[in-house]
Formats: sequence, C-alpha cells, structure tokens
Amino acid sequence: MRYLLIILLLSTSMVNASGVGAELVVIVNPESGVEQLDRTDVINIYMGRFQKLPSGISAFPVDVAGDKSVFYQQLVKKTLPEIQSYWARLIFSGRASPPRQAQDSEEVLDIISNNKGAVGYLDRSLVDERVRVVLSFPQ
Amino acid sequence: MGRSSCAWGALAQRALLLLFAGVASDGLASGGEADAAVRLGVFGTLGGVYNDSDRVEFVRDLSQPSGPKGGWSSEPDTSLGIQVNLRHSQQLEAALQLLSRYDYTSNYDPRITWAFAKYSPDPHWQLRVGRIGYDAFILSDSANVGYAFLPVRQPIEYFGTLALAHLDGGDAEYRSPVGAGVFSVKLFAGRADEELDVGNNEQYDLKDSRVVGFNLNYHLGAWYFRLGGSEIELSQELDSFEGLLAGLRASGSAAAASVADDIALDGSRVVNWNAAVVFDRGALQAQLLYNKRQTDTLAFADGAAIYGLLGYRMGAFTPYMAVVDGDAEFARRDTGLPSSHPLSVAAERVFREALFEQRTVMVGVRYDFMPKADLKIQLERLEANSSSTSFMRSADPDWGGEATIVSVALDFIF
Repeated sequence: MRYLLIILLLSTSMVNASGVGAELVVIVNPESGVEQLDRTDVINIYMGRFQKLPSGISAFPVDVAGDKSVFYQQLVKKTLPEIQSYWARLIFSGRASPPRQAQDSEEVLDIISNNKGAVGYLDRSLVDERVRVVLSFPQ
Repeated sequence: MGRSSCAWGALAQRALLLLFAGVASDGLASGGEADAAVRLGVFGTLGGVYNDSDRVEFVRDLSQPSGPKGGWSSEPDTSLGIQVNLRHSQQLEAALQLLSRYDYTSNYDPRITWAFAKYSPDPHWQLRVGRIGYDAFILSDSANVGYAFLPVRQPIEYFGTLALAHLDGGDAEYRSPVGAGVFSVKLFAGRADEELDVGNNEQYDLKDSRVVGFNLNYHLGAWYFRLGGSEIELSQELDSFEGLLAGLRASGSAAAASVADDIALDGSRVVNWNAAVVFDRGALQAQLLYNKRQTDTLAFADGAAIYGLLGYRMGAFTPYMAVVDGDAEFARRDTGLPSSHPLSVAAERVFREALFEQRTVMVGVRYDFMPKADLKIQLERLEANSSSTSFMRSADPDWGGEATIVSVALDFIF
C-alpha cells in the first residue's frame, strides 16, 4: 500500500514537472454572485447552449489561447477542430456568438475582473484575488 | 423573377446598412462599450465531384439545374460565403450573409442569405427579424457550411425536397434548463424568395410562398433530441402546368377537372414533420434523422426519408459512413379520358415525376489537416427507383437508376 502511494506521488509529480498535468480551473468575477459552477453549467455556457449564471446574470465565455485545447479536452473530450466545426454551425447560422478570445492569462484576468458575467479558465497557479475559482477539473 | 429578388436584395441591403450605421454610431456614442464589435466571417468549399454514369447528371440539391455526367465537375459543392456580424451589446446584434454558389441562376451570383437584426433581452429569449435561415430540419440553416459537418454535403434524399435556404420574416426562440439538460422551442414564419429547378430547363418560383414552422430541442449531455414541423403554402403555378391544367378543366370530363385541382401547385400545402437524435461524445458522432412529408398536390408525392450517420475520430482523421433513404408514395388519379389521350399521358407523366425515391450509401473520411480547414474524400453509391429521376437531372430514358459518385472537398472558415 505504501509503495503504491509512493508510486502515485512520484508519477503525479513527474506529470506536473513535465507541465502536462497543469491544473485548469474555471474562474468568474467575485461580484458575479456565483460560488461554484458544475460541469454542466460550464458546458452550457461554453457550447452556447444556455448562457446564464445561476445568480441570474447573463454569462459570456472567454477562451484563452494557450490553454484552449486542454480545456475543451477536459470539458467535453473534443479537439479544437471539432470545437471550431461546432461553432461554425452556430456562427454561420446566425444563432450564437463564439467565446471571446484572450491571448494570455493577464488578458483573461483583466476581462473577468471588469465584467460581472465573464467566465474564463486558467492554470490554478496563475489565479489571483481579482477572480474566483468556481470549478476545477479532477486530475 | 430575378429582378424582383434583386429589388428585395437591394432593399434588405439598404435596411441593413442603415441598421449597421445606427448601431455603429450608437456604439460610439455610448463610449465604445466593450461589447460593440464588428466581426467578419468567411466560409467556403472547393469541391470536385465525379459521376461515373454518363446517362444522368448529379446535383447537390434541387436548386441546381445541372451537374456532372460521366466526368468531373466543381459545380455541385464549390461555394463561398461572407458574413458580417455587428454586435451592439449582448442584447442587440445584426448580421448580413452573402453566399455564392452554383444554383438556379446557373451562375455564382452572390445571394443575400441572411440579413437580420437579433434582439436577446436575456439568455432565455432570442427574437430575429429580417431574412433568416430556414430552420425546419436539423442543420438545414447551415447546409452550405461544409466545415460545420462531417460528410461533403447534406444528402439530397433527406434535405433536398425542400431546398429553401432562407425566409423573409422572423423567429422567436425560448430556452431554459429543464432537468439536467437545456430545452428550447423556436417558432418561425415568413415568406420564401427562391426558386427550385424542376428539370427540363424550368424553374419553379417559391417567391411569396408562406412558410410557418417550429422546432423543439433538448440537449442532455452528449445527447441532442429534436422535433420539428413546417408548412409551406405554395403561391405560384408551374409555367409548364398551365396548359395541362387548362386542358383538363376544358375537357368536359369532371374527373379530368378534379385531376387538374389535384395537380395544381398554386395554393397547395407541403407539410413536413421531422425528428432527430444525435449522440456526440469524445471521438464518436452518431445521428439518426427521420422526416415525413405530406402534400396536397399530386405533383409532389407524399414521402418519408431516413438518414443515419456514424463517424469516429482517430487523430486528425474522422472516417464516417452514412445511409440515406428517401421514399415516396405513388399516387395517381384517372382523368376519365382514354389513357392514350394526350392529357392523360401528360397527367401520368406528372404523377411519375412526383416520385422522389432514391437511396445512397456512402463512406468517407474528413482530415482536419490544419486549423480551420479540412479535406474530405467521399464515395457514394446511389440507387434510384428507375422510374424516379426527380433527384437527378437530364436522365436518359435507359438510365438504370444507379450511379457511383466520388467527391473531394476542401472546406475552410476564417
């Protein structure tokens, strides 16, 4: 049992060291009135199905360039081309607008801290007091 | 016909420009609100289609007058669309879309496919007014965006009989979480402004046909369920029917006069009911679509179609296979005149051409070789009821009802 634990700890630390295990968390504005979101809420917001926070505010999602592909893999097990193909249908049928695109962590923190309804994602280590973590993906 | 749609186009263009100008100056006046944005989108396909049969022409949908026959053609699938979205706020948005493809105009003249203003007072409601997509079937309002789906094109046997792209009118949608999923209902109404090619170099004008419909949708995790219904009330007669209808009515036979009423397109209704189940999780995509058509003209037979698609992604490649089967109910009436009478012969021909019966089996692969572009190769084997050539063009009388189609397509968006 002890060996198993050690192996587990070793393997997770190795994964972290290689950067693959970076832990993405979903973040919102602290004044959004939202303490936590479940995976279904986040899917509804990011896939354009229903964009409203449980507190009643209209939600708008923000994508972050470097973390996008890991985020969608964790959220819906889809690759970026699949997500783009999905959005092409919604955009070019005039039904919905795609998530706003942020270039880096600083930009997403900035957008979220300035918009009550904004939802984004980030590596946990980059989160600061301007935003609130509402969902983390189990490793 | 071309002139009136141009006039409408010019009017819509002017209205949209005004709206855009208004929205833009509004956005500036309010201090350039963070949400105000102009977004330009482009979608297109470069496609080549090979038809091995030299006795019949293959078309993508009923808006196309001709297609490849015993050779290659870029006409069926090649298209280019441009869309401008002007977003004033989370509540108000306008969109204009132009699409250039080979259709009833026999060229690539761009048409205005969308020109609407959208008002969304909250996340539950969405109201649109103007020229909107025809959302009667699942995927029918994005049928020309090849990048948005797996096969090269939406199969004609399922989507082809009501090949409307847009309506001039409006729609209202309400959505809300129900249980663990999201439910939505949409109602739409408007008038058509397009033409269908009916073969023999003739177009049927759908202009001013009244269209109403609804759809109910439920997204639950990887599942998507949809029910839809729509009705088109045709408001024009087919030119080549005029002589036949007049002849039948003047023949002195009561039966013949009633056949004329049964054939007439003007004033007749086409009702369509459809259901769809989609499962989409991880690498797997599966969909099963069914529709049923009821009409009150014998020139367009009642029918049903079923379409099943299965795809599985492996890395950048997604192989897929699909089966689609369109069936019609043969209906005919006796004119009360001798069967060799020219009016009886002509009526019989109308009944026969009303049959839309064809099934296709296809396999293909989509290769996402770079961001926002894909390459598809697709092989299809189609079998039509040999007396039913309605989905094809210029069939030789000795065409056996079979053809093999090879398609290559490069889809892109940006």
